[in-house]
Amino acid sequence: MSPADVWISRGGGPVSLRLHLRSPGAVVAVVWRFRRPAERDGGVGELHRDSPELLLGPPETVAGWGFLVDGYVVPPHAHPPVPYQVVVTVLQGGRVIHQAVPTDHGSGVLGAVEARFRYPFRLRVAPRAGARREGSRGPRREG
Amino acid sequence: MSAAADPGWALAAFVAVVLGTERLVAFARAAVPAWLDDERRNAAGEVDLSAGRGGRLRLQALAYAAALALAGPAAETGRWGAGEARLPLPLVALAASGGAAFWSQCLRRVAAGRALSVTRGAVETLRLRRRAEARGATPLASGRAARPLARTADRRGRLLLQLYAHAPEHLLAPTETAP
Repeated sequence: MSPADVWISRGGGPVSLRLHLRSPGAVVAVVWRFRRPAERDGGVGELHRDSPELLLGPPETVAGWGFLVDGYVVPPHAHPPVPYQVVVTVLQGGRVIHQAVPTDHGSGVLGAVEARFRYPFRLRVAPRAGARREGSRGPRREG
Repeated sequence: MSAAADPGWALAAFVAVVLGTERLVAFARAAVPAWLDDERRNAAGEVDLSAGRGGRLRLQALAYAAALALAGPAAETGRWGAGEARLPLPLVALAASGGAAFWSQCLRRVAAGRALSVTRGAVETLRLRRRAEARGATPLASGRAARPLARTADRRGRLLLQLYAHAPEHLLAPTETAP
């Protein structure tokens, strides 16, 4: 398994993250930042009902970094098992640039116990279209 | 006022006397707590039975007097009850004061159980925070997990703390089945 690549543009505005649950219940998560796959840099913030959107940072700061959304789906009280689905949305400048359902327990059936899910992704700067058209053989500029 | 012939009424009246006695004693303890203190503690924080003897005796005398006062109006010729089943009023008052003490103990145990639950929650919170700090994953000061958990039923707060306490070391760490 490898982290999903999310392409951002240099001038597209700040990058933020949103979490949505398609079922009764609630979702809470902590977002971690990784300099390298095995080097956790720290926590970026939390996502829950009181804080539904989390700012990751401007593109020049976050490009090239890995992020991990680590959270729980909380079942509602006294509810029979229901299918659930967590949707992770990445926005840049308020515009949706990426949306996904985590493969790691991002969907399933929610019983009486919380379900833990994880979604790793990496922010990469999209290459400029002009450089491609000119047939540049230079290295791809990534963050 | 005389007691009705219905035994059900007598039982209901007895329960009312018991609960009323407990309430009167509770009011008195709130009004003069030092005079009715039945749990004097020594320097080590242990209950000192000999030091609290005076308070205990005054408390029990007050409970008996309260039961007597509450049951008295329903008595006839010094006896309390319904139909042919009548007991001497002093005996009924003694039983009612004992019932009030029992009810008071029940309430104290419920309160102690609740306090124990809160303490357990606080201990668990402390354990999770220490574990998070040991992993270099201190809850963010601006986040919800950094706030004190006001209630042990703060499920989302506890789950966030668990996420910090089990912070992944690798970007691609597999999901653990149970933290």
